[in-house]
Formats: sequence, structure tokens, C-alpha cells
Amino acid sequence: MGDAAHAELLDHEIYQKPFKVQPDFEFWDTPDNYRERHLGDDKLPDKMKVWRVQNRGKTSGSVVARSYGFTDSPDAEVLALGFNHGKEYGAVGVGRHGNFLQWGYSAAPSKMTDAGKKLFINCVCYIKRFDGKAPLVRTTSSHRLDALRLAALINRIKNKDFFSATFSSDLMEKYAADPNALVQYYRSDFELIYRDQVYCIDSELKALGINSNRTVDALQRLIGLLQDQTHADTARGLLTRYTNESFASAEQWRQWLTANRDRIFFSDVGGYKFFVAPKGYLSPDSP
Amino acid sequence: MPGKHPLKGKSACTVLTLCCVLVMIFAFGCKKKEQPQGSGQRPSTETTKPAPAPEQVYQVDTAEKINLRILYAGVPDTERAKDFTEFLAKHFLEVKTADYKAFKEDQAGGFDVVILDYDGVGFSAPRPNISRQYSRATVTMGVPGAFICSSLALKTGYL
Repeated sequence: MGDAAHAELLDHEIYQKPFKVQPDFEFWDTPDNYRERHLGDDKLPDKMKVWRVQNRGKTSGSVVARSYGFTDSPDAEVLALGFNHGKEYGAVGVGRHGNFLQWGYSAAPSKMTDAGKKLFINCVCYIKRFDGKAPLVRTTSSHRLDALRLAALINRIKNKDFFSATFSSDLMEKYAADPNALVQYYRSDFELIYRDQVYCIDSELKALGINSNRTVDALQRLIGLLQDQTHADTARGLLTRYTNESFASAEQWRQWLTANRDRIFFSDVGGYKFFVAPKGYLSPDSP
Repeated sequence: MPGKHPLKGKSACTVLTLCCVLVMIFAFGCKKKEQPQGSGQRPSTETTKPAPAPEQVYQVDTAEKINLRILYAGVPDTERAKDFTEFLAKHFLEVKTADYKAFKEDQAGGFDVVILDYDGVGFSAPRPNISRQYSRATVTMGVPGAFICSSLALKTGYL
């Protein structure tokens, strides 16, 4: 990453207080890497609205975090999109995970712009509110969007070992000459992707008519199926796959769901599991 | 610097001294910097905190300063550390420094926010030994900061 941030997210409170951040905007050419890594069907514009956070005059030296899965848990948020020449559009120049705020820019204050200085001060003030709020999840896996991103590369990266923890050998063989078809394979069942050593499509969920593995409704369906003798074993196995719980009875599962429903979230990055945020963590007053 | 009292010692003429004091108060004491918005601001006050050890504490007039105690853990005796600490001291009530390379979690006690800063760019920068139980509000900086985050399996990590 270089010196700039994208103009998105400026309505976040971190741009408002204690200092009002008022950047000077510029329009810069869209980097080629954005197009190469773009997973959407839409076309990126030729130029993008950015603002300078610092003035080092270099296109590298600072750092962005990947955007995939960054916000799949309520303990993390993107605060500035970093204009970068190495990763995807949307990569995180300034972000928070739990009590940590990562400022990806590298310059000391004397080389920050006025807007950059104000944002930095605001960041210091903002993170104070998360004192004592350690992250709820840790990065133990990669997001399902990575399956699409990497599928597009299977014939461009010659070292097949690179994909040994990504795609099954059967899929690699089947789609070796047609990466777009592999992308489509995962895209078609995007909501059912999970990881079991490699990226998989959850055929068991699909067979049950459940079209996503990351909604609380899916969790409720599985708990309900525990009382269906035909599907109880499958449902129990899926609950083990997608939670860290091991209740013995359907009633215990129901009680758990009822007690925590409003605080349950699913994280790919956290290991393709449902987690429960502690009481008070998600309330507006906390932090 | 606003709030830095310019008068020292005593004059032979008390009246003249008092006049000078009044003039300086109006000239410097009431001069305002750009005013931050919203909460989190320490109310303006005429009192001045006692100055601790000068090489480690950047604490000047409390007026208009944000009421946060900052620990800046950087590389001592570098232009970058000086740059940061002077900048932070302009805005925060209390700024102390520590050595990034020797940073320990218990040093964060008594501070509101810790800033961990090496050089912004170093891929081979040392990484402070921080446990997953550490929960002090912390800002990590640049490439070294991203590697700290990676070592803690945070989403803000390098890859």
C-alpha cells in the first residue's frame, strides 16, 4: 500500500470525532491488481476517488489486510480501505479487531497529511472504547471468497502443492484446464462452502434442503431435525461441524439457541463455526 | 506553545510584573488551537499538572488536551519516536514512552491506549511477546504492526 485511502467509509464516526476529518480528494487510476482480483460481475471504474493519508511518495511500504472475511465477526470492522497495488480493492488499510487497531500506513506524523493526522488521533481515541474487549475469534481458516479467488489461478500457478490445502485432487484434475468452471463450481454453492482440509461444498446440508451453512435459521433447522429419526444423525454431525457445542439432547440444543439467538454469529475465518458473543458485547452501550 | 507560561522569576517592580502577567495571559493563555468535536475532551482548565521526568513524559498544559494516557512504545532516540511523541503530546493529556523491543504487557497498566511502533516498514522488525489474553486498547503501526497482528491470529494481520 502507498499513501492513500479510498473515499468510502467516511460516514463512520471515526471520521467525525474528536476531530472532523476533511480529506482532499483525488481520482487515481484503478490499479491492475484490483481488476485481476475482482470477484464481482460488475466492472470497476477506470479511476477511483482517494485521499492522501500521508506523503511518503511511494506506492509501497505500508500494508493492507485482506478484506475477505474481515467483517464476518462482530469484533472486527474496517475503518479505511487502503489504496494498494498488491491485494484486492477493499483491502483494509486501517482496521480494528477486538482491542487492536492496525494503522497500516507507515509514515510518522510529520509526513501525514492534515486529514491523516486527524484520523490517527481519532483512531487512538476510538480504540480506547475497546479496552478490555479482546477478539472473539482468531483467524484459523480462510474465507470462502478465497475459494473463488484461488480457483481462478489453478492453471497460472504451476506448483500443484500450492493448492494441496485448497482444492481436492479430484477437483484439481477435473478442472485443470478450465479454472472458470471451478470458480463456477464454488460460486453455484457459495453459501454451502466450508473447509475440511480443502474447500468443500456441504452436500449433506444441501441434501437436507438447507441452502446456507451460515445463517441462524440453518442452525435452527438442524436443531429441529434432531427429533426427526431419519435425519437426526446427520443433523447431529452437522451441528458438530458448525459449532463448538456438544449437547446430548435436542432440548439442550433448543435451550442454547433460545438463550443465545441474538448473539450468535458465524465466522468462516474463525473456522466455519457458529460462535456466541458474550452478553453485552453487541449492545450499543458496550463498549 | 499555548499554555506554556513565559514568566519566570521576580521583577523589582511588582506592579510592572503583574501587568506583564496579565498581558501574557491574554496573549498566550487564551489562544486556542483547532477545537476537537464531540466528547472525550478534557474540560478546559487553568490548572497545570506537575511535570514528571522530562525525557519520558510529554505533559504540558492540560487545557484542550484529550484526557487519555498514552504509552508510545517505539524505538528510543530516533527521529521517528521524537516525531510521534511530540505529535501525541500536543493532543493527549499524558504521553509516556517505552522501548518497543522490550515491551511487556504489564507496562500497559495505567494507560488508556498503547501504541506499538517500530519503523513502519520493517519486515524483519522484532515482535513483542504479547499473549492472547492481552486486552489493553492498542494501536499497531505499519508493516511491523501487521506482523504483530498475524502472530496473534488477528484479521488485521499481514495476510
